[in-house]
Amino acid sequence: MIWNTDRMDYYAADCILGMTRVFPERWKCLRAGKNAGILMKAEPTPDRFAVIISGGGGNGPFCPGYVADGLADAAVLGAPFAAPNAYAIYEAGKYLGKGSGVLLLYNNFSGDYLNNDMARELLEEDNIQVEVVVANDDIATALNEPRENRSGRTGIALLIKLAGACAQRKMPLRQAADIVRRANERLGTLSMHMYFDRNLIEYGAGFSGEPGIRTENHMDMKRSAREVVELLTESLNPGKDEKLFLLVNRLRLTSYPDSFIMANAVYEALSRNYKVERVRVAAFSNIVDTYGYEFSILCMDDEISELMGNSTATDSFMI
Amino acid sequence: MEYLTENQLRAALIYTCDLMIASEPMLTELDSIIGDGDHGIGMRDGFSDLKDKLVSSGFNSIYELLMETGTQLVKSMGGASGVIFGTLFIGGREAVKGKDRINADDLILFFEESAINIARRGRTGPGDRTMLDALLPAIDSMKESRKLTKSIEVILEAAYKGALRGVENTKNMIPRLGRAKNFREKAIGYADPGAVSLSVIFKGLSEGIRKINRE
Repeated sequence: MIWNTDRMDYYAADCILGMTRVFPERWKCLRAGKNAGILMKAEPTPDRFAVIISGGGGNGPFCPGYVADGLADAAVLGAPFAAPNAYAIYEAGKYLGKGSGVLLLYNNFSGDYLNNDMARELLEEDNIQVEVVVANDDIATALNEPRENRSGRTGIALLIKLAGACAQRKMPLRQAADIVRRANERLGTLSMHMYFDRNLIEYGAGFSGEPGIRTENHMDMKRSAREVVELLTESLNPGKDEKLFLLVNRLRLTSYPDSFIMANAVYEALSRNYKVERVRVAAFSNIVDTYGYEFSILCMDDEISELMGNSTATDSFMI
Repeated sequence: MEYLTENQLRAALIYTCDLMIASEPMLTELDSIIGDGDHGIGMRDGFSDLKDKLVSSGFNSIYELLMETGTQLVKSMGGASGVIFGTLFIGGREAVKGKDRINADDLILFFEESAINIARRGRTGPGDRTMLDALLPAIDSMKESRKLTKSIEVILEAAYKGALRGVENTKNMIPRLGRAKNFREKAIGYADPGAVSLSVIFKGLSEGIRKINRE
């Protein structure tokens, strides 16, 4: 739930104005308009490509909370649960991309695709170098369809971190985009919604009421950890020389201690057969008003693992 | 009426804005059954901002009028609808470039080019249960009608009737794109809200031109 105020047209703008009021040393606002807001770092980093993320404005920390050193340079927010318009993304790209270009990174939903694709064309018309990476990590969507039809979920957090790491090393845009795309191919996310009153666990449910891919009638934590690992590794099929990054996203009703106990259970189940290099737990994308989690696994080769090596802290999580 | 000027087209677009704003409750009701209920509000807000723009600004050409119309819709609406309905007015702009007045052939070419751009941008085609399923039959009707007449008001009325036929057909289609796809078979029996909005646009243009003709 969000507070349905009489200024819903300006929900994204008001969010961004609040963020810049609280942390002026961290953020500044490039646009606070109707149905669109642009948040950027207080001090843009010159001499390298910029990472621009975008999405509907009803949630957090994704995407505004990812504007930080080592993550995104700007976030473009739309109205709650609606993609921001192409011209706002274009404006951010024009502002930040003049030198070394921009990487547009977003989750695979119709509105986000359409507006980013239009923004890409507008930027290219202005001779600004653009690369696009579309996160489609949700293993429970588009089951019998090509992978690119899948939706994006919390796994994008890991792609933002990777893109940010490439940018910090002043990598050429094209090379960085290829690395982030390669990671996207090896990224999977599974949701787990829990209903204690019904003794029910649902895996793979979407956040707009889409049904899941598997339900179980138990509340056994170790067993559910094994089920999570089974579903994710079945989909990703991690190789022997790949190192895994496990991301545990705490949904809104889940308690802080619960999330660490569960993360440990999943880590133990996963590390039985695979090399888990790193685990992170937080509310990375606090999108569903329920008890449960999203689990993301990134299978990393040596180059990506090295790039993902440093920790990055934001106002609300460490990744 | 054989030709349309920038002034006349602008008046018809303003009429269309009023009609879209008035259609909000009908669109909201439909989208609440088989969608997330925000389509009507989005269209109302987009066309309400567009009306303000059309009433308050001057345009040097038909090209500029249509370009600004599309751009305003993208900006005001956001989401998928903004781009798609914006492209309806931007996508065919080359067909009217440099023209002080346009005839029925220009208008048909304009919407044909728009449809191609909408399909390309949306990675969609006929039968996917989108506004394109109303736009394509509207264009077919315009072409049929053009065989008999050069009259713009007759051709736009044919477009509206064609769009309505397309809306009827969406009732038997399973959604493949956007959040509507979560409803799949449940959508059967109901028209696609985007297709209905497209028919409202042709209704507005058709009635708007007729009204200008009478005055």
